Amino acid sequence: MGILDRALKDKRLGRAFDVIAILFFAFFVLGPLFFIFTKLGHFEFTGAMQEALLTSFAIAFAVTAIDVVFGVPLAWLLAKKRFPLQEVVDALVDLPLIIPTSALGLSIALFWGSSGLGILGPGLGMIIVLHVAFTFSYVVRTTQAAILEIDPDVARAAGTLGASPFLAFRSIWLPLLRAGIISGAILAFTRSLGETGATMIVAGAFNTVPILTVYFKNSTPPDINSAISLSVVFIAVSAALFLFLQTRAGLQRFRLGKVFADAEKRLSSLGWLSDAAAVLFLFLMVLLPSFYFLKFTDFAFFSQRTVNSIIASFAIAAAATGLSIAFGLPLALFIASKNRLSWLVRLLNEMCLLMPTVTIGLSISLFWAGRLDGMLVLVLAHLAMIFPYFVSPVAEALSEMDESLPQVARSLGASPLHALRTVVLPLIKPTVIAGIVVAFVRSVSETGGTLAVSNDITTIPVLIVNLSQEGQYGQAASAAALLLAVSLIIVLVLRTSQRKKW
Amino acid sequence: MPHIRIKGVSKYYGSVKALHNVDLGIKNGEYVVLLGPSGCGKTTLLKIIAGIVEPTSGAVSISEKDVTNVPPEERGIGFVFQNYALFPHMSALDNASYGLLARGQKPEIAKRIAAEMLGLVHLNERQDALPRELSGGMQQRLAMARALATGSKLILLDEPMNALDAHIRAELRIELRRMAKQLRLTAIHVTHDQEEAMALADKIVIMKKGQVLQVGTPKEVYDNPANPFVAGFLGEANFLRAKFEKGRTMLLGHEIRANLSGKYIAVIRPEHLHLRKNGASVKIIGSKRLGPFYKFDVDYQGMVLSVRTGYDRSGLSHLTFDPKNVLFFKEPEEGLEKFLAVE
Repeated sequence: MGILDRALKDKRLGRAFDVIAILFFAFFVLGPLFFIFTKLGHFEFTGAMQEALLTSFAIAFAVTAIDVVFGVPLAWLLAKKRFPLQEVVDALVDLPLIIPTSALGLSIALFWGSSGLGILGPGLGMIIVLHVAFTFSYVVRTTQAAILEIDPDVARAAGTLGASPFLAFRSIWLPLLRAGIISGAILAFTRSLGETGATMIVAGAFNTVPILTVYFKNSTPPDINSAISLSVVFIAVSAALFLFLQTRAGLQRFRLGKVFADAEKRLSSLGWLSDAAAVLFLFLMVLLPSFYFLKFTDFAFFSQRTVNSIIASFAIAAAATGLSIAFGLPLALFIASKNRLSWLVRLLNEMCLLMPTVTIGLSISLFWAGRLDGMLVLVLAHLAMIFPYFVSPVAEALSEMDESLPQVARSLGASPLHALRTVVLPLIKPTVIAGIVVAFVRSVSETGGTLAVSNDITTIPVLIVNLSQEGQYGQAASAAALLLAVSLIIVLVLRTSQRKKW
Repeated sequence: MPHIRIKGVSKYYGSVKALHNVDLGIKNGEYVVLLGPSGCGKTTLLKIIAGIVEPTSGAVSISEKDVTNVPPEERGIGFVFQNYALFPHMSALDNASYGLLARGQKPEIAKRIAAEMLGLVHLNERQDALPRELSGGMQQRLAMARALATGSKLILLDEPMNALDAHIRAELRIELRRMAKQLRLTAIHVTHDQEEAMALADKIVIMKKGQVLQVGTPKEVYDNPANPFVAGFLGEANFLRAKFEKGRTMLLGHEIRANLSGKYIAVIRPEHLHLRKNGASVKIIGSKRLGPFYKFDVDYQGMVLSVRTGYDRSGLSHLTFDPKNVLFFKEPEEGLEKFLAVE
């Protein structure tokens, strides 16, 4: 037993850990994030802002609806049925998340635009297919996890009572999956609302809230006041919606009315149609458009500029992820500890997810302005953007873990730290690593917030946006492919360690 | 009217044999209990009858109709799951009316029949409660009501009382049998609890390692077990080896009149051994008072035997028995211990 172990038997030290984690969260994440609101001079709300707000929410609604309509059947297929190459299809679902969103934007623009199918031009339709591509897997994954958590005997019971598969799905599975689907939908919705970089590539003349914020910030002289006013309204509406959905996520009473037994039985035999539609959607609407850019790669254009950007991107991501792990784990432990204040910290942490990255970038650069070096501010901005993505799932896994396990370890003589190290952490390791992957990938592919912080440091997603806007698709695609390759290697290494023992 | 025929049913999971060539007939109106240690295949057999599990080979027929390839929703059964599997998002009444609605019944009629069913299991006051608001015993009764509300005459129960404490279990047993007889049901009930089996069954099916060892009334299987395993699993039993000395068969110092040759196992139940003033000399090494009777562990030439008596016999040190209460079995090929092992 080490000195630290013994020291940690002292309750005050455990408390000190909580305090450090909360202070870190308050001063490096929460404070800087909401600092922007103190800079509001006078509130103004113009017609253009209103229009952008409506556009953003309309897009997010449409995208989430599409995600749910095709994502739930896909989750069902992956969780409940067996078919050839299932594991491959399952692995492909996450793939679009690894592509930096700006590369994704480029790819979507190329696929649907005149360089590809030529069906869609930059505009509303293209924004929607883009947002579906990077939010689809959130709905699939959370629904899939929710399906596996439901006692299969409950659905079997419906079968023994005479329910056709279709009736069992609509009367048992759907109502019970409701909470899981809603939480996936919230993720998809907020990601759609806040996305900046890729949307800029495909938006054309359309203004979403993040794009308009970037516009305000980049106008000469910068119109910070308008940017803040817009953010205030945007965050207020998002928060209200978020809280409303949270209250609707619990178990709701369900009453089965008239059943059209024969018709529903006939519908049940059409299950293969929904399977086929879900798989086709995954390949044709999500995967193929997302990877279409690879067709345009041309490494003849490879420049020092690209290499520098890649180094900058990965250095920032590594630093921000490292800080997230170091301070996120204690915070997650605090949230899961059922302390009187943990619900508040949990809520604040989830509210951070609602902030559009542009607003985060803007707020953080204002907070640290002149006090820190530009690169450091960028790291802190990325930290604030990815921190909740790491903390949320880890806190969730911790609070779901069987409490008696660490208690057994304690009863066998382990100190709290020893129990944490040998029992708790090994058990939640898959979630921790999944959290690291998500946080890292989010940082590497982040565009909007980076643009808001600095115009000098060109991370690779920023470079891709710049090159795309210059019309240099070959170079942009090459840079994106390189970023994808490196990200893929890192994710694969992390995923392999996920399967190994602690 | 449902009577069931199971013909040559096997179920393999890869190389694991869950069920091996099982034949079983169940008559209309019978209360049948499938009894055996965990892993013996009894739940698999029940789920095959329900259509939840597909057999690897063999056939199941209900009322002369081959249902081997019929999905559960079309078999007209009621199934009570081990953990009840109540619909957590529906009230007690909605749970009970589900089966009727699923078969296309009008909502008003479904509701009326379901309410009657809830009355039958004494839940009419809790119609609007969600399952999680009910006690364990109430949940169990709701699961019964839900399975029976469809009017199904065949009810399958998978260890339905596992999660209940001993007192409620004993009460529900009586209730269950009364309902089954009152509604003229054919019931197939899976359990590993021999007391439950004895109390409920018209017919007990004893299973081990995927095979049926014996089928009979509780009295038949208790008094005339087909082999040492059945004797040991149903109630308690002492296993002894008879000795052959000079052409005489000796058991606990008594000569037994039996025409035996080769290796035989003698089985005597604890209530058939008596502590007396004379007989085989033994030493009492342990005693317990278990409510209305006493249990003694006695040592006979290094062998520990179990004796059950109605009175305190701790002052005595000799053992006798009535030879007609001794059962003889050929020693199993794999050896007695291996044969008796439940795993």
